[in-house]
Amino acid sequence: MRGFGANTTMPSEISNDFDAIVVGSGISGGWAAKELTERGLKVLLLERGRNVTHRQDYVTEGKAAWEMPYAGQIPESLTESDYAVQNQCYAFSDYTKHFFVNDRENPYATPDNKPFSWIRGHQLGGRSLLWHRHSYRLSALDFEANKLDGHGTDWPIRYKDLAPWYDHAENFAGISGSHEGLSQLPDGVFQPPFPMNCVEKDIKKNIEAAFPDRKLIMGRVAHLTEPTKEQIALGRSRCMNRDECQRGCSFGAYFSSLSATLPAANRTGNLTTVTDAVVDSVIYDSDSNRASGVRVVDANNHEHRSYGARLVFLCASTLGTTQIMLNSTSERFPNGIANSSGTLGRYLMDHIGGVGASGVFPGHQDMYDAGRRGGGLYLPRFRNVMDKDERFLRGFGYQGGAYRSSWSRGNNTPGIGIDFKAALQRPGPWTFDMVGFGEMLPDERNHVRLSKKNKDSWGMPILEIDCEHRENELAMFDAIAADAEELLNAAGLTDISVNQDKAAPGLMIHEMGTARMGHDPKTSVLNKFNQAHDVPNLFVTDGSAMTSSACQNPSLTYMALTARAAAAAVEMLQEGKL
Amino acid sequence: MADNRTHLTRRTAIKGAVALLGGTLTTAQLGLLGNSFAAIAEDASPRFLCPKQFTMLSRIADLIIPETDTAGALGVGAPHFIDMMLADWASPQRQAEYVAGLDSIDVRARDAGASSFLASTTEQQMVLLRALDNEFFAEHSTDPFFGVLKKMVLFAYYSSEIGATVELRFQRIPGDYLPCVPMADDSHAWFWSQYNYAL
Ligand SMILES: Cc1cc2nc3c(=O)[nH]c(=O)nc-3n(C[C@H](O)[C@H](O)[C@H](O)COP(=O)(O)OP(=O)(O)OC[C@H]3O[C@@H](n4cnc5c(N)ncnc54)[C@H](O)[C@@H]3O)c2cc1C
Ligand code: SF4
Repeated sequence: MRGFGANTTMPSEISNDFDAIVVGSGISGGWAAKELTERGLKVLLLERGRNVTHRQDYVTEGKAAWEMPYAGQIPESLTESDYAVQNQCYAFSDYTKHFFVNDRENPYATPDNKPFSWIRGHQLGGRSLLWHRHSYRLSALDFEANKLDGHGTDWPIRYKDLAPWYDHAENFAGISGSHEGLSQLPDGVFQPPFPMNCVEKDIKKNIEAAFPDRKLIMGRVAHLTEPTKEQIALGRSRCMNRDECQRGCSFGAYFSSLSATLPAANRTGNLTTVTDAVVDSVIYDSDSNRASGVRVVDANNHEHRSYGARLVFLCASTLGTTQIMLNSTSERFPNGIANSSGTLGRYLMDHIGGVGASGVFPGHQDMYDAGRRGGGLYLPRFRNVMDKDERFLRGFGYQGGAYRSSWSRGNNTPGIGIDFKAALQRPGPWTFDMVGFGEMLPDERNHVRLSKKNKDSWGMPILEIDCEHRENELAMFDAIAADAEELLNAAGLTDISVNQDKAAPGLMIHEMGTARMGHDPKTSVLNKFNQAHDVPNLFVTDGSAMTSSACQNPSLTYMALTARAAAAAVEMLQEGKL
Repeated sequence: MADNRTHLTRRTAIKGAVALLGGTLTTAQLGLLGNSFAAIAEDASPRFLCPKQFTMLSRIADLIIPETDTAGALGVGAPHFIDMMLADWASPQRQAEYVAGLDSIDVRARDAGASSFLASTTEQQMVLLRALDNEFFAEHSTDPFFGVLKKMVLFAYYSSEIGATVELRFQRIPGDYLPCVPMADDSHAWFWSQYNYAL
């Protein structure tokens, strides 16, 4: 069992003899470590958070409410003092709070009238432990969007460049889903999809009959439904339908760095992992015009040290990476490493969401489901696919699902006493809800910068995040609400209610774009291989590389970009170009 | 019954999974066992509420979720659980809300002619609680306390082992997702562990 955990090594035992340093062990960093070690490179993986051992450290896994202190509720004063931001995330609870950052210890600043909810997980595995596992490819349409309407800069790659890397990522990670033949949501390498319940099937039929251009499909999620030999060899097995994934999963049934990429990297014998190592900055060597290593602050005793390598991969999550880069100043790069363009920290995007609708399905009262499916449904984008919508650019999709409510509907139902108790013993009516995920335009004004006044306890200037929804996003919010209502009417639902609560930027947890890829070194940070235009041996492969946001959940794209960049970097290294 | 099928597939599925992993999972890691939340003795004195308010809370909890052919709020120890929550989980504002809220219910009972809530007949108590419940759900409700209290009682009851596994149904490791299972007239609802069921 130990073998699946990370080989965490004491800092003092570490030599300086690495081919590559990877910063961050989340979805992107795990992939970088795997791909680089599998190509024979000696890799040092640096993670600011604590070590988490797969299985052993999933301390709330499988626990029922009555086995938790306060039956799973977090003391109110603690939430207020330490988790005011993280508590906004739907997955934050007493079962999961140890995988979220403490907001008091990890400050950032926003202007008074522009909230940004920065949801983070600082530990080995990063937010790969916490994600909801929806995994969708971007499409040809998405890679051409900036060029077509002129917002942002043109992506330096097209769908066909990334397609084989999507195959590679899906094949290894294990994505369950259905083949649909949609141009706006390309099919991939899928394990069998989870089944839809009878209400979902009816709703699908009704929606697709009313709107030939819209499809309701099973969500494509990183859950094993038919594990491959390779996945089994890594100690992973098929999903048990508990829907408690964010506590950690000993079955290794959902993709995380701990279940998948890090065990794969460890078995090469080429990986050294150091946790509790806060990377402060990248060291720039002006003679060679190369990144020569990184400076680290020990998370616990705050001591400084540095590590050297021939290659540096930044995978510390979009804003984590951007903070490190802005903090890496030198004579050549006074405003942050590889920032000759001045675009570093700009064009911050998230998805827009929160808005959606729900209703009651009148039929199938004699049917129920059993088991807790870890993933719901997806309704892929249909606006601005074939026709042009005059109200807004780009598009949105929805996630949703049908379920019968349980006892907690009693909170919103009048009644007490014998009859009330008897009613709550039965499942409630079938309810269907859906919530939008919309594309946000890249806008230079949405940006982050380093505070000139405030540092965190590790001595890093904190981030000031200045981001807001603008005209296109506001118009899209209206369309998400109106279309949701129209869809649910067509689906045959009653008691439809539209939720107009817009999620604050950041809260969709798809922040991206602050070190964008592009053709031109004057207007972008990274080239088509996620390689810094200015510093050839520096690669950035997390969400900060994203040139546009599309509307699909982005992590699968980070996996594919990372794997592609790692292959390119190793090739360049072997050719002596780095 | 459909449940047996679920159970069988689940057992086989888990056995299969453990075999796949080379039997490396212990029962505890599979989550089949947990640290049972230490039960609070029935006769322990309340830690946060004064004895009179605790008795009121017990009475109200009993009326919201009474004992029927299954245990009610009292049978699962909801009053002691709620008192513990008020002592250790609740913020100072929340604590004050309960103290003032229970007092205000007593005032309402006196306004209705009784000497106190506890001195009222069961029927009078039910009438008052139903009135408070209706007021909470009325359009221009100004006093949220009864809603807060009812939510807490429901939470205490259904999150208890008896509430989740006897009153409702509970599966720790379902194994499969069965999308459409015919439901018998007496099928109980599943206990769902919501992500963040905020009180
Ligand atoms: C509740 C939730 C649900 C989500 N659902 C989905 C979904 O369904 N689909 C989807 O595609 N995405 C989803 N996401 C988003 C997804 O988790 C992220 O896109 C993904 O984890 C990003 O990967 P990453 O490697 O770039 O960053 P992370 O996974 O955040 O990892 C970054 C790592 O870098 C470390 N780090 C940061 N700064 C430093 C530093 N200075 N020095 C050293 N280490 C550092 C961090 O501690 C962390 O471990 C969800 C996120 C959450 C929280
Ligand atoms: S639903 Fe599947 S992936 Fe999630 S915790 Fe359960 S077994 Fe693991």
